[in-house]
Amino acid sequence: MKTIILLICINNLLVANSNYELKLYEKIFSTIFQNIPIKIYGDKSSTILLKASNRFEIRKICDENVDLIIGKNFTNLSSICKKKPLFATSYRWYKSQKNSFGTFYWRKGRPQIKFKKDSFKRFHLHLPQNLIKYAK
Amino acid sequence: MINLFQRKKTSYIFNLIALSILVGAIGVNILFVTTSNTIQKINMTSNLEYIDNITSNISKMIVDETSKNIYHSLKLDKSLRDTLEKNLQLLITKKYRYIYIVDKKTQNRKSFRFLLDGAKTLKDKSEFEEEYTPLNFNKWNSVYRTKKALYYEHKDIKDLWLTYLKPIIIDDNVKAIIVIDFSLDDHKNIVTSLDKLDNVFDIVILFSVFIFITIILFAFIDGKRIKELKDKTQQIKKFNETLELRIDEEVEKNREKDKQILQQSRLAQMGEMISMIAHQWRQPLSAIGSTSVALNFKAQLHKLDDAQTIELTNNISDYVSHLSTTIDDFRDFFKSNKIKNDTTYNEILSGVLGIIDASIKNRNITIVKELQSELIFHTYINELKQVVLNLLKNAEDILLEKNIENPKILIKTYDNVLEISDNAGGVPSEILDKVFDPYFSTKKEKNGTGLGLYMSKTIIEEHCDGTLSVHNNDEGAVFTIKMQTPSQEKL
Repeated sequence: MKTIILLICINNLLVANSNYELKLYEKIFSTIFQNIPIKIYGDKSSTILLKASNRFEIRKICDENVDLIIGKNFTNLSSICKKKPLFATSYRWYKSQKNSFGTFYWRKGRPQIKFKKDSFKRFHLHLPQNLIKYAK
Repeated sequence: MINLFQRKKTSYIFNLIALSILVGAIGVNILFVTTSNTIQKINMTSNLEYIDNITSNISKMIVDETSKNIYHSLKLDKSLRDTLEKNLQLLITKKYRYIYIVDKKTQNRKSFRFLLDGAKTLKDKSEFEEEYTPLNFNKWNSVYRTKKALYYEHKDIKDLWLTYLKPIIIDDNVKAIIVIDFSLDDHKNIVTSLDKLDNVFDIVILFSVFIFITIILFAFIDGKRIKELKDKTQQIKKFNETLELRIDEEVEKNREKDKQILQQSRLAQMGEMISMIAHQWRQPLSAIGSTSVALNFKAQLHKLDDAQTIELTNNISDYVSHLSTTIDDFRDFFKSNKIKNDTTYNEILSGVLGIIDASIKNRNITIVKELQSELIFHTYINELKQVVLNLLKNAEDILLEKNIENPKILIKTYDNVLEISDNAGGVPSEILDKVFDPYFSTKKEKNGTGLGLYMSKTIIEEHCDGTLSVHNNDEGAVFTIKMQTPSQEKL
């Protein structure tokens, strides 16, 4: 059922509606992180999108309490932050950052979603069944 | 009937026009849909033919520049990658949004990896070996199986119209796929134009359907109206058939009524005639009576000689002769004459007064005569006399009824006019226009039939070609007869 909902969300994303992109993030993060609201530190574009949801608590400072970092372009991340799980919004950031556990971005007009199995283990995160097929 | 036929024909023509409009509109719409599909098909075919040539060239270029293992060649030689990508960039236009080359790391993998990307901006550009999962993975994968190029249209990606996949085949194996994503913008222009045209045709169709329905409705209403008209015409025809019978019946009734009126009038006239005869006979009968008494008295006294006897019996004989003449005059007077004769008012009045004069004078009514007309006219003399007699008798009756002091009847003639007036005060204005109506009477003491004036007007205006009218003057009613003059008769 969750898979179907996720697929519907991905499909809806194709109309490039940010509302659906937000819903996708809600589904993914709600299944990975159990504590709600999920405390998130993100870059500017991600923050604008995610603050519309009451499932997320947007943090202005990246400290110990942050559950998740999301974005694609961080210049100065603190050492604490570099140890937090990162969800990248670009392929390059996803590939280059050791703490990234997943990514969502658009390539050639098509949505791409990927997860790193190792990162899940490292951060003791739960990889839901419906996301396993996107994990490497 | 011809009119109805023409209307029916018009109705058929209207229906035919309506049907033609509808069929025409549907035909044009079908033609448009067919043409639209053909245009799109031609557009698609020409695009595919063109892109097939381009991808063949790309394929040849890559095969020529690389070894049999494209991936290894590109991995090892970054400058080759850059050169080939620059070549791909040259092909990027408004029409071709993305041009890139992918392959599969292993046959069973559910994703592809980028080998070359013609994207111009860093944002759009993929990295070498970047894993890539297209939405229609199975279609892409089928290129590996079939080794044939394919294309499909997008409904789920908003900026892309079509994706063309061309396999790069080396030694009968698919080594990579050239992917070209067509931009929707260029295609949209054609589609939008066709959509606009389609909208116009939709309006035309709707308008045609509206016209069709309107005409059909109009034809239906018109047909109904024609049917009603036909029914009404039939009704009128039937009514006309019965109307002739009814008119005949009414004419017969009127004839019967006229007969009755005439009969009643004659009876009334007869009564009046008897009265007038009585007045005429009174004096001679009285003379016969006194002569007879004298004869009887002288015979009893034995003083009657032959000469006296002859004289007295001659007198009686003269009186009887006078009575007989009187009867003849009355008989001639009421005898209906079917031939018109020349006469004058003086002649008419002389005859009438000869009959009624004694009666009027006996009532102490003065007759004043102002006779100036010498005009000769052509008419039914006895009928005109009856009318004049009736007018004089009416004047006499009203003068007696109202017990007028110094009663007077004025008889006046001039030109073609005869006026008979009295000094009885006239006819009340509210009944002045009714005096000539049948059965209308104001006589109280004598039972008037109400037919005298009606018959008089009928005789003068319908038989004698004259006019009879009434008005009041200062003293009383004035009845005026106007006969046609000889010059008028000629006209």
